Parts: sequence; C-alpha cells; structure tokens
Amino acid sequence: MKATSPLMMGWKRLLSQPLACVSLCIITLIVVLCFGASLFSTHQPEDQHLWVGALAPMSSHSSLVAIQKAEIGVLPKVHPSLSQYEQIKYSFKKEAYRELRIALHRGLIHRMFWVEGAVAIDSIAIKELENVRQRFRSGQLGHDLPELKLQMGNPIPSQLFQKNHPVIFLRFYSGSAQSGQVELNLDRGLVQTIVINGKEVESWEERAENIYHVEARGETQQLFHLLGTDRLGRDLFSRVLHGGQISLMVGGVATLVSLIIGLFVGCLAAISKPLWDRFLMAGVDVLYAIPFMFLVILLLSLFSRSLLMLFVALGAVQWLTMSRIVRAQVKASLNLPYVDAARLGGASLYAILTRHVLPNIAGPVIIYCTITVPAVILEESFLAFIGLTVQFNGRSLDSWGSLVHQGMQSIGSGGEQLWILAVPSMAMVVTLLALNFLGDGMRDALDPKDDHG
Amino acid sequence: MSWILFKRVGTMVLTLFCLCTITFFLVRLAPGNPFESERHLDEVAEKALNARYGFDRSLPEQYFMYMGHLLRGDLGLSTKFQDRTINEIISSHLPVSIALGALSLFFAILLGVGSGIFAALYRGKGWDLLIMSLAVLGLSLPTFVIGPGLQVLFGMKWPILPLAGYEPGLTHLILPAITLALPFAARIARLTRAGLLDILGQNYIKAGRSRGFGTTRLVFVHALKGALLPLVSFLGPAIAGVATGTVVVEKIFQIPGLGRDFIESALNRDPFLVLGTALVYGVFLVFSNFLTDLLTLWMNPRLRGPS
Repeated sequence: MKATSPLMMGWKRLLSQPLACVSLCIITLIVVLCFGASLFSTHQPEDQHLWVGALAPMSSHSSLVAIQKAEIGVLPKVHPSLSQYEQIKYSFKKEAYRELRIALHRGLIHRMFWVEGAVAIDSIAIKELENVRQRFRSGQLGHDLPELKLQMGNPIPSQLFQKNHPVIFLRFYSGSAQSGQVELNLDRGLVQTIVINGKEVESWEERAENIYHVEARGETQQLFHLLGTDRLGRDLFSRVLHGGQISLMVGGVATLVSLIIGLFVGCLAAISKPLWDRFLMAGVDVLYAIPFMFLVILLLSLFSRSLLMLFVALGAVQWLTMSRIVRAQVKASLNLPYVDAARLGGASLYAILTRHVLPNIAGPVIIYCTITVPAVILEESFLAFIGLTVQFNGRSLDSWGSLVHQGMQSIGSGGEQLWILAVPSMAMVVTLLALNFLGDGMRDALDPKDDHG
Repeated sequence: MSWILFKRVGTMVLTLFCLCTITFFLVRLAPGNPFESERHLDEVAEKALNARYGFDRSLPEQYFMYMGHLLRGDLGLSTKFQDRTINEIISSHLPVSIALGALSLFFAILLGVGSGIFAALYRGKGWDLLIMSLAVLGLSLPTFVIGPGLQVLFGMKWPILPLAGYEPGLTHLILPAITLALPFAARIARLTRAGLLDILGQNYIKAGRSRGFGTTRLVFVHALKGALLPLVSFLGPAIAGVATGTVVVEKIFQIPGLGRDFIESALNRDPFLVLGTALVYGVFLVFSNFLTDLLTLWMNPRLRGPS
C-alpha cells in the first residue's frame, strides 16, 4: 500500500465534498477572471462615457470618445477600435441650446451663470419647460410642474436636485436642430478627406453627445457593456474585475503577512523558556484587547494610504490568533514521541521544527488561513467603503468596497439604477460565500474530530 | 480566584494605558496641520490657535498634559467645532450609538439563539440545512451590502420604514439594527447549534432522557446553560464587532452617532476629537472584554483552577 501524507488524505476528503468542490471551482473562476481582466474585458475601468451615463446591463452605445477630432493629414481623435478602418461614418444631430450652470451650497442656490460668456444672474423664471433639459439626466422636465423659479439663496427645487451633485446644468433648447453625416476617409491611420453632408472640409470636431450612430465598413460600431455602466459611463464588468484584483490581492497578501508573523512568534514562544513564553503571550493578550480596527482606520486616514500600509495594518491584526494557534500546536507536538526520536537521532532544534513539527501542524494552520482570507477581504472592503481606498500613483484604486459605496450613492430615490449597487455586491457576496464554504469544507477535511459547527 | 481577578484587572489597566499612548502618538505624529483647511490664517492667529490647543509645546509635554486631562475626564477641545468641547460632542452622540448597538445585539442574540436551537433539534433534516446555509450566507454578507439592500427593499420598493436619518425613537433604528445584527446572528446560530449538539450527546442528557423527560425540558432546563458557554465567550468579540459595525452603519443610514464623528474627525484631521472618540470606543471594548471574561469565569468553574 502506498504511503499517504495527512495533507494528501485531507485533500482527498475535501474533494469528496460536493459543496467544497463547487466553491473551489467558483473561487478559481473568480481569481482567473479578476487577474486576467484585460483578456475578458475590452474596456478600461477608468474610461468614462459621461454622455451615456448609467446604462443597464447588456446594453451598448456607439463607439465614441468625448470629442471626435479630425484634420487632414494627421491622426484623428476617434475611439481606438475605429482607427483600423478606412472609412468611418458618423451621423449627428445638433440642437442649439444655452446652458445655465447652478452651483449649490448646502442645498441652497449659491451662484448661477450662463456658461456661454459667463454671464452671472440672480434669478430666473422658466416657463416653457419642455425645451429645458438637465444635463446627465434623461427625461424632460416639466410634466408635473407649470414653471420653475430659481432665486439666489433659495433652496433648489426638488425636481432638479441630484444626490451628491453640487453643480447642476440646465440646457435651454431653442428648437432649431442641425443634422447630417460626416465621412472620414483614412489611409494607414491618417485622415485623407473629411466630407460633411457631401461637402469636403479641412477639419472637423464634434462632441460625443451629438452623435447617435457610427458606421464603419457597412457595420454599426458599438461598445457593449455586459454588466452595464455606472453614472460616469464606466464599464461595470471591467470595474468589478479590476476591483476584485485589489480585494483578492489584499486578502492573499495580508493573510501571508499574518502567517509569517504568527508562525515566527508562535514558534518562538513555544520553544523558549517558560518566562519568555509567558512574556510573549502576555504581550499578545494585551494587543488582543486593543480594538485594532480603530487603529487601522487611524493609520490609514492619518498616514499614507499605500498598499504596503494596508498589508501591514491588516496583517498585523490577524497574526495574533495565528500565533496562539501555532504556539499551542507546536507545544503539544514537542512532547510527542516522534520529536524525541528525532532529537535522539541528533537533529537540531531548527531541523526538528522545520522538518518534523511544522508539517504536522499544517492542518490547523491551513484551516485558519482559509478563514483569514475572507475576513481580510471583508475588512479591506469595510475600509474602502468608509472612504479609505488605497492610493497608488496619486489615484485611488477602487476595490469592491468602494464600488459598493459608489453604487449606494447612485441609487435614485425610487430604487432606479439598482445594478450599479447590485453588481459589485453580488461579486463580493459570491466570493465570500465560496471562501466560507471552502473554509468549512477544509475544516471538515483536515480536522475530522470536529464533526459539527 | 482573587489572583485571577487581580491579573485580569492588571491586564486591563495595561491595555488601556497602551491604547491611550499608541493612539496619542499616532494622532500627533501624523503629517498634516489641523488648521490647513482654514483660509487666510495669518501668523498671529495661527500662533494663538497653536497655543490654545497646546501644539506649541514639545511632544512629551503635550503627552503628559493630555494624560493629565484624561485622568480628570477632560477630553480637550475640537479644532473643527470650536464652539463645543469634545465632552459635549461625545455625550450628545454616544447615546445614539449605544442605543443602536444594544438594539442590534438584542436582535442578534434573539435570532441567533432561536434559530440555533431550532437547527440543533432538527439536526440533519431540511430545516437544519436551510438554517445553516442561511447562516453561511449571513457570514458572507457584509453590513454595507445588507444595509443598502434593506434600504432599497423597505425604504424604496415598499416604503414602510424611514430610509435614513435619525429622530429619537425606535423606527429610525430598526433597519440599521437589523443590518448590524444579521452577521452576528449567523455566528451566534452556528455557535448555539454546535454547543447544544455537544451537550445533547453527553451522558447526563441521556440519563435525563431515559428517565422520561421531554425534549423541551431537556433542552431548555438542562442543556441550554452549558450550551451557551461558548456564546458567552463570543460576547466580547461580538460587542467589539458591533461597535466597529456602528461606524459603517451610521454612515449608510446617516445616523449622528459616535462612529460618524470618528470617521469624519479622522478625515478632517481633528486630532483631539479622533483621540477622544477612539478612546471612548477603546475603553468601552476593553471593559466589555473584561466583563465577558468575568462572566465566563463565573459560568464555568473549570476555568478557575490554578493556571
């Protein structure tokens, strides 16, 4: 009969549990999706499409950039997916409007001015509401109200109010519209001719919101958003995958940090003299009683919010339990006959620890690690949710926690745009659920004595 | 017994001292100036402000001054809310947080112990499986997913409870308390089930059963006290978790509690308000850990033996 190590036996027992197997597959899938994000999503997580705003899952829009620019003889400014084509056709419809910028301060109108020419005004009464539209908000104003009166220092009418938007733009359309088609002919990426409504011109520039259709090589060119977009028009699928990278990486690395510190302190306490052992463990007891989550919040909000700081802060919280487990296990193992046998055989203390004791206590340590990973992911997203996102190169890296927070802020008062909240929430819940089920399965497989709980 | 008590009190005092010292130096050594956001601050005014808060002295001097005030129960002045002392701010916001925490702990214990007993009684049956799966789901649902979810369900789709904000009374606390309670209810249910199953397998229960005692009497009179022992030692971490959770729940439901003060003052760099709120949390948690320890010792005489 072939000899099997306890770990191999545990692995086989794990594979015999269907729930743990499914969880393992789901976790593998999520890890592959997140870390191969650029393979599975053509969108960049930070690419904004302000003019489309929040799009529901499974929807698409024209492949545009904020401002399309073309000039004969140079590279055009179009969406990267279009530059390979020899001919691009844009259909546009331009409506003439004037834009009013309204700045708010604590819900009161603070300043108003016409964007064109920057003419400040004190008050305005708007009567023909069907020609007025609010930028970044679909649908027309004025179905339920006869007129709007805006006065400096007065509260903003609730119909215009948008959560977390300190500035509101109103557009007054004059009714005359201009429409047509632009044809760009390209050769090796450079613009050859620009034709607007049959007339050749030297240069062309158009904002994305005026273009409603893009065509190249006889096909409609569109961008597809599997899980929709957020309020700034950023692709949610790619944001969730990139956010997952941060969450999973923090979970893994912080667990590793806690494992290393915990193993070191635990082993040290177990093999040193009783006085030192008691001293070390009393230190652990004192640290244990300190509410660490508050210290981590302090560390991150007062000092730098780098990845390194996060790993250290979260790892430093988790190593305490790990060191207790390791110490208890090592201490128990050191009294077993096989350690005596190794000692009689002339093995050094280091060799006994690394070659004999540590492999034997791997079970409980692995179990604790699988519990730690979801706990750390939860803690990191907790921090991200309250606004303590990791900063890297001067910008915040959004993890699942901050995506959930953004989702919570973009929900309308009637529960509209629910997917912005639901998508990152689901990603998180599924991952944590799978990790927790795996942890349970791991405990049943590696610690067969404990058959309930 | 008195030796154990002495040791616990000693550890508690040491922990509190470490907590105050670590937090003080963390806050005071942090880069940045609390008056940064004040516009047009001339040199004289800045000097006056620094003198008012003691920032013109050396760090050790500031530390001893702060500790001295702390022993007299004075938490100092806020740099942001210059018209109120920190004692006033905290004493007006702390009761809200305590009400929220207590209510959610109550929900968690009620729901957790109830469903735990139920699952243990139907061990291996459909109910057990359902409750335990729900418990794992509860463990995996972060409060900041449950909170907005409940807001959408009960504040928007079926508007029966207030969406956010706070007014004295229970209605504004129900959703936040449930949000906070669910993850702990899940843990308590698992602990209760495991503890009860452990006890129900023991000989004295079998003896009771052979005498013809009914299941209700066996569970509620004989088994439950022993089964709840692991739960009592979980109470310390649970209180700590609920306290941490109030920070995020207060943010979600816009409740003016201590947690919001803590986060906002940390982000605003309001040094003494951060210190004050962190210390209130710290003292509360250390003290509740101490009480939990005493409760465990009282309920389980086996732990009192010579260590």
